[in-house]
Amino acid sequence: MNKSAFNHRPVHWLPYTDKEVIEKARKVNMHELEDYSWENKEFKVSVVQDVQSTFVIDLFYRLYKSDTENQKLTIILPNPYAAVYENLAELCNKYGVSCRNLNVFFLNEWADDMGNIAPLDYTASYGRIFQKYFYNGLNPELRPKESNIHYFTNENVEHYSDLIDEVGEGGADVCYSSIGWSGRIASIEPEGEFICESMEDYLKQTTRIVSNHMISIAEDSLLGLFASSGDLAAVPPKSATVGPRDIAHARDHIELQYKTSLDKAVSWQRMVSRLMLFGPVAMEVPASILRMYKGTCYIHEAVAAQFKGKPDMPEEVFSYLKK
Amino acid sequence: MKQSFSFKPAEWIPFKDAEALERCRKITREEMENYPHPNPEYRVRVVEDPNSAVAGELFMQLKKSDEEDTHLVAIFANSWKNIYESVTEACNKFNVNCRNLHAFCMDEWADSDGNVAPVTYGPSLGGAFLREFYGHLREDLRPPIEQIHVFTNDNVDCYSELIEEAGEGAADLVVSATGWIGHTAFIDPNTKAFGTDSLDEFLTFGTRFIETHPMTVIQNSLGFGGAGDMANTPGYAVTVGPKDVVNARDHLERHNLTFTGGYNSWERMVSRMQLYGPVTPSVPASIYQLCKGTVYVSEAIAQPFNISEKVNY
Repeated sequence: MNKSAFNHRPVHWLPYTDKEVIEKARKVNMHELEDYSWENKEFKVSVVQDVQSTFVIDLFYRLYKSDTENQKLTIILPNPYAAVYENLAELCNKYGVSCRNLNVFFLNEWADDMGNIAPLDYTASYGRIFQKYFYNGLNPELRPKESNIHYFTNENVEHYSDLIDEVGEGGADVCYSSIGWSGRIASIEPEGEFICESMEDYLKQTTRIVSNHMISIAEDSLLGLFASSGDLAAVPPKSATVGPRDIAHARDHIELQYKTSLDKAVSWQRMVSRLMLFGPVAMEVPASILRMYKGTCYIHEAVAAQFKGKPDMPEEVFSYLKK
Repeated sequence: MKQSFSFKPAEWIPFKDAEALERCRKITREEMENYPHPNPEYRVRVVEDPNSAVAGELFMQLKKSDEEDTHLVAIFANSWKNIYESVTEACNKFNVNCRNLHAFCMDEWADSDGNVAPVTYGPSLGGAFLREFYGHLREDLRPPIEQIHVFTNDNVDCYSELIEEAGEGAADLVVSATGWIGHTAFIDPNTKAFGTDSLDEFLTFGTRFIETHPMTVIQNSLGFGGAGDMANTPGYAVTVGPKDVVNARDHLERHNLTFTGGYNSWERMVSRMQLYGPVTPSVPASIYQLCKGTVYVSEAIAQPFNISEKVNY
């Protein structure tokens, strides 16, 4: 039997590998954050029972206010959220909330290996999911103009960030997001196209086509859109995505962390959520930039749960080895 | 729906033959058991609960070895707590003596310098076998501890020879499952340790140290605190080789890893690739197609590939 303790380093290809910081983040008790403060005093964390309900209510209320106060509402949306969009349309229809002032942008959309953006007739198109479950679900008289819905296209990807700033008068009113397993926000990955010399330069970067990180392809292969089967080859290799500037310019941010197995025992978001909140603000954990801005990170109880690791065993457990 | 979008899969994916992948996706539950496989000794059975089928078979192999007083040399996957504790519970109850068992754990974690994790390391795979199988057997039914082989720094280079020596040429049985990237044990594709395009050469590789494929770290991180904690998941291992698998006389495999209570499973696609794709080093577990054995596939894994727009996870 090997007697030495086993103390391995994080594997070298991970985007973020500072073992001490990771260990510290791993041990944070998410239920004891009352005194915790982040880079921006208006960034808050809230542990809740039902993150999707929080998303529905937050966005529905913004739509309601935009209607009753006749104010423009410019939003950036994540995908695929069919269940949320379906209920939002239902609520708008039931309460007669007009979405005439709504302008929609998307965090990201699939692209092929040559960088061509997926059209709306692609089954897994994020734009298609929004169109089917929200836009087409709204009563026609409550819908915004079709031109208010800004799907990613090959033609607009280069100036999509400028469109957001133009329509939103400097930025979106709110950006909804949900951190990925790689630490990404939208398809702003911890490696590749967005990595640069300084955080100042990083935050100026706009929409573009990027390669999806291996960890993101693994994560997305579990989506219902790809038959929940780990089918890596079925997931497109690239994406069009907003850039850090679009996150930075948004006036409010709602981050949604709730992805668990049905029995809540497993959640790949459990670790990366902690890294985003308690590690450094860094390009290696792109979603960590949210801490620099006004916003709320809603975390499901199960994602916030303490880790149940396997502690080392005392040698006495294996006493038969000594006979 | 008509689709005007097609793409080549990401470059790093080891097996990308679009036609073969599409054929695997479309295999139905009925076809899974009746697939015209060239090796008649290779069987696929679709059952609700592969765990109890494997447990039952393993118990019978141990009982036969006791009654006939013959060696049973087996390579074991870990950690299979439910199955091993059920089997040993039955051995204890029915007084099945395991004196003839020679057990080899199929793999173990290691660090980047090649140091093998000791059995006292919490997630140790050999440690799990010792606790869940050996430690759970009644003392008078246990084989001598010398017949239980876990990987150590000292035996990794001769582990294949130890198997062959104990098994008079090869193991009698391999008990296994498959990984997201198509591995069996830690025999990962597209790695320095097992890098070859030649199937013939691949099948000659014995035990060794490996830097595992990143997808294996991603998969295993789901078991580290249930948290996707990749930094806490070792990226290195020691493992039996394709030679040890393919030379074994019988094989018992289960495909039933779904997220509890769910349809969601990273194993659904790779199960089909292993069972019905070509035999290739790009999908290491496909070498089971060359062997005598039974693969128990759960009804959940055998479900068709249904796109669900409303299901996130």
